Amino acid sequence: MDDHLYSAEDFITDGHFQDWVQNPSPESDQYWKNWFREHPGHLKAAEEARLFLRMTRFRQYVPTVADEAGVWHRIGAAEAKMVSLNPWRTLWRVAAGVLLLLAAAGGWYFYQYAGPATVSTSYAQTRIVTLPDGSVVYLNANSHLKYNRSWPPPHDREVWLEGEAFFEVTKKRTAGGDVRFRVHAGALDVEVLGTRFDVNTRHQATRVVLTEGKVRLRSEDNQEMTIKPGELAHFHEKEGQFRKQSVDPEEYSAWRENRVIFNESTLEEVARGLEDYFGYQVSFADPALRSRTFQGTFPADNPEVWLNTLSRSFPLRVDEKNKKAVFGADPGAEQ
Amino acid sequence: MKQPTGDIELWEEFRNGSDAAFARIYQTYFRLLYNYGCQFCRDGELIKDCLQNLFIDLRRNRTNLSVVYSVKHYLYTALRHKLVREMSATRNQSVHLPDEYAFEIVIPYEDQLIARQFSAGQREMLERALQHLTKRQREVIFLKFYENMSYEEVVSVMQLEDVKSARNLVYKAVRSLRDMFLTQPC
Repeated sequence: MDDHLYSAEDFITDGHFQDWVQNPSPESDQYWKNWFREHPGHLKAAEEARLFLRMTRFRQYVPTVADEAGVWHRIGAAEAKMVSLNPWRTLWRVAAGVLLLLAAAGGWYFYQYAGPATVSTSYAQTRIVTLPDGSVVYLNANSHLKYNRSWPPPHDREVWLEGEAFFEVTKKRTAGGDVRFRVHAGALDVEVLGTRFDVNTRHQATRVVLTEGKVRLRSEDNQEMTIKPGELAHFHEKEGQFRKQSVDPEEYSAWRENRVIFNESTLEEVARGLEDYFGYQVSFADPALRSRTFQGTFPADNPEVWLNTLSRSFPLRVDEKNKKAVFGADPGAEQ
Repeated sequence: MKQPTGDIELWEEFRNGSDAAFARIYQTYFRLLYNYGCQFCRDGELIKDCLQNLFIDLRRNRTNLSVVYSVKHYLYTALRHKLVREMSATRNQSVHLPDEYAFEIVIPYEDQLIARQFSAGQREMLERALQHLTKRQREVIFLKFYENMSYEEVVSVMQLEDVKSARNLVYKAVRSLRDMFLTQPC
């Protein structure tokens, strides 16, 4: 911005200024600090503008994941129904139209119901996926789920997971007995018949927490372990060994209600959460902080709340623009 | 204007027939569009119907779609158009929000700057001042500051006359807020 007297309105409509108020970074802080030092006469107007921008937040409406999935389903169904909507005048057109639409609907049908499907989530996003057998998968942020859209009965039901997901598996029975459901998760296969459980494959380890039913875990080298409800199994790829402990399963699936619970967790675990849910890069300038404990519940879709809360209890420097956070005092700080 | 990287490429892939690109566009914008729709009307079902038709039309007309320079702006314009038409067609009064609830601004008291600056009495005054903004002023503010659209895009989404009239709406909003509140001694 150049020199003449600016009003609050001028600041508010300045993209550069807006960006600074809404997403401040060390660089933009510095830029505006310098600018105000050189133009002290503008300070009052700028402060008004800043207040205005910070004040204007709108009520937010978030659709449920079921809303999102339902509308998507209806969009797909409409494609198949196009036949009846098309206006045609002659028989020839009817025939050609039907053929064409059948081909289109067939293509859509194949894509929708038979081909391989990959469902992905970005940071701070969760989705609900209904599998061909009616089982439901809640996919946590930054995760990928792959499966075939068609599951002919005698075969095992199979999905591939990277990241974290909570499964509600329906029981399925054929003449040949119960149909197995298998999750390929990192170095493990999780085998179940019908049950509810959480699987997490991040950081070279696979973690399974069981809410209900019974599951069997099998590693690539054929080690096996079964777990009961309320148990957590952990398999580290490097160690190649299972560990088991009792936990409250709710804490491990609270992300489905947009909550992430830390219960006597170390800051290192919290830092991992910031990485997994939002893609932050977190480091420790002071290694002693890694093992400090933290207790609290955070929203799964808002990193600001995490960072604000943490910075009140721990020395924490945040660079929101580049998604970086450092625990520990700044050695270069002036004071 | 800020936009997700690759939006234009995504649009091109979609125009060239990619179903995966169509799904990505849906995933990226469904929530944003739903939130925008709710600013006009509290009838979730109506909003979902409009969104459904919007995406069905999009898919049907994919070969006739033009190159866009902002996917977001295209989708917002289409949704607003559908929603306004549906709302004026229905006689059901419950669909219509009283103006003060459309594009409702909530003061973020948890914001430290706000908490520091305002006493309880001042907050009350602030709320009253915000109520004096018109619905159109609030919509411009929503699109411009909250959704980071350019004035050109705001003009086209809201079907305003020109950039000057959009700018005027913002200036008036700021001025009326300031006159009513900000210049009062804190």
